[in-house]
Amino acid sequence: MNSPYGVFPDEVILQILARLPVKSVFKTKIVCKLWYKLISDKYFINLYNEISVKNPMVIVQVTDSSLESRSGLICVDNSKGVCEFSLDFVKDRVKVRGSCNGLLCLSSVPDKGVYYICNPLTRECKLLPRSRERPITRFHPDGEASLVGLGCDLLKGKYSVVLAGYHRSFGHRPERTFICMVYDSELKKWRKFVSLQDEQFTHMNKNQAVFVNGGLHWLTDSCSCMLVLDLSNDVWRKIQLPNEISCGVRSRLYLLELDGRLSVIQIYEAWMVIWVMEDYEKEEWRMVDKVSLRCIRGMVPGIFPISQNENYVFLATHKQVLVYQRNSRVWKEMFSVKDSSTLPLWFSAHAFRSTLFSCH
Amino acid sequence: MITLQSSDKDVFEIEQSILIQSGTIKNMVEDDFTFIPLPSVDTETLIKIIEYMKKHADKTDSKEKNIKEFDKDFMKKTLNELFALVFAANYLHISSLLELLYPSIADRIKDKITEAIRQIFSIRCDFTPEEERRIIMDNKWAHEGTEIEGTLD
Repeated sequence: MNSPYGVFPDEVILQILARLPVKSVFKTKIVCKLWYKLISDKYFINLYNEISVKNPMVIVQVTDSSLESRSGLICVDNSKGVCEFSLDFVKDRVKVRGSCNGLLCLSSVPDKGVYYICNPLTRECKLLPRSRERPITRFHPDGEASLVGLGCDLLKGKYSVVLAGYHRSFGHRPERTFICMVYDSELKKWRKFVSLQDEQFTHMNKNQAVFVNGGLHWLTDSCSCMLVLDLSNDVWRKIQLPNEISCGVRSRLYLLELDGRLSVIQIYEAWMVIWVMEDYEKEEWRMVDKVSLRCIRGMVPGIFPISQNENYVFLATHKQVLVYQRNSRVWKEMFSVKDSSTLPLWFSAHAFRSTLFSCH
Repeated sequence: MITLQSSDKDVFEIEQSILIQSGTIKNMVEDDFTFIPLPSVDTETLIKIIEYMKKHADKTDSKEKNIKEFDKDFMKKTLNELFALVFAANYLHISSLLELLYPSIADRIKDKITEAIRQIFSIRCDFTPEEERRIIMDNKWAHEGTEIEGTLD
């Protein structure tokens, strides 16, 4: 491989290819045998994933009639703008229930209890086996799990799918029995365990599960604590939020990830405050930024933060996806829908990253 | 002051404080070298590298916006120039410049057809037509859509 400058070092080629969009990476597999080998190698896949992890995006599931496919995803990237992905390769009508490190957990709309894992960029899709336990459809209400969580460990190359909720009971009030089913991608099996819980979850609580330190975290409706499932030992526990966060006057709270750590974004009146849990063991929080919402004042009641890194925050409203650049303190609209009859964008918006994580 | 010599034997005298952005030069300076020959970097490329390091030497907050504008313009070069820079920056271990070059180059090549990529990197295809066809079939979706024929940008 000669060029006017000499031979391209493998490392340089890998670093360049690791910045390509997924589709282009796959196209370059046929350039030559060396490139095919380099791209398929674990070193490259880890490098690619490491780089994309620093570039959080937002995906919104839309059933917009303007999209060619019936159901698709709009993907918003801070530097590359907006693009569309179709979910047609799943061959079922699905709803996005969870998103983690490049994989999505989808539930079938017509077939309750049927779940898929897919990577929308590599178009790999895996139907999860039905658990031999019937409980999946005995969840209450709606026959569907209250909490659906996806935890993808990029380094170990494995993932877990969590379905948790309360069972239908014959009495007037649901029991406190919290059923939890976990699918392990390595063992290719479901396991089930039970605990007692009293927590309730809002729609956004359910959509914003955060996977850090081997655990799945959800904010609860009470806003005073997080419910955490430690996947290494199947234990549920609670993390109390500090008073400064939970006792905010009329503030709304959202759970996001920030560079591998838990982050809570607090929205009240004309402010957005970003908190990070600096020390997981000691449960110590730090206020990272306090952003004035003055210039988007009219949108504040209907704005929801979806994903972020240390440089920017993505938020969704009924009809728009906005990005706030923390360094320059500039707001920018990245995407908007023209059709006023669609569901609010924030309703089906999830944090997302484009990785080469394989679901098989 | 440190003296750098390009492959074309041109010499440049630059302050040490600016040059330590290059990991390679930093190591040589620590070993007390004051004359550093760079046989793999030609004059044209070395001038650009020095321009970059001079701009990035002063990283005070007020200059940040300036530096971002400079970086954006700095990447507006031909693909060949960017390659020459990436070779030099890789040899000289200037990580901030590499972090700029990698995505810029990736962006230029992402929509090019396979043959154009082979020409750009001077690669000869060693797949048989049958092997090539099989790989394309495995990832059909990746090969759909419009692509750019030309190698030049």
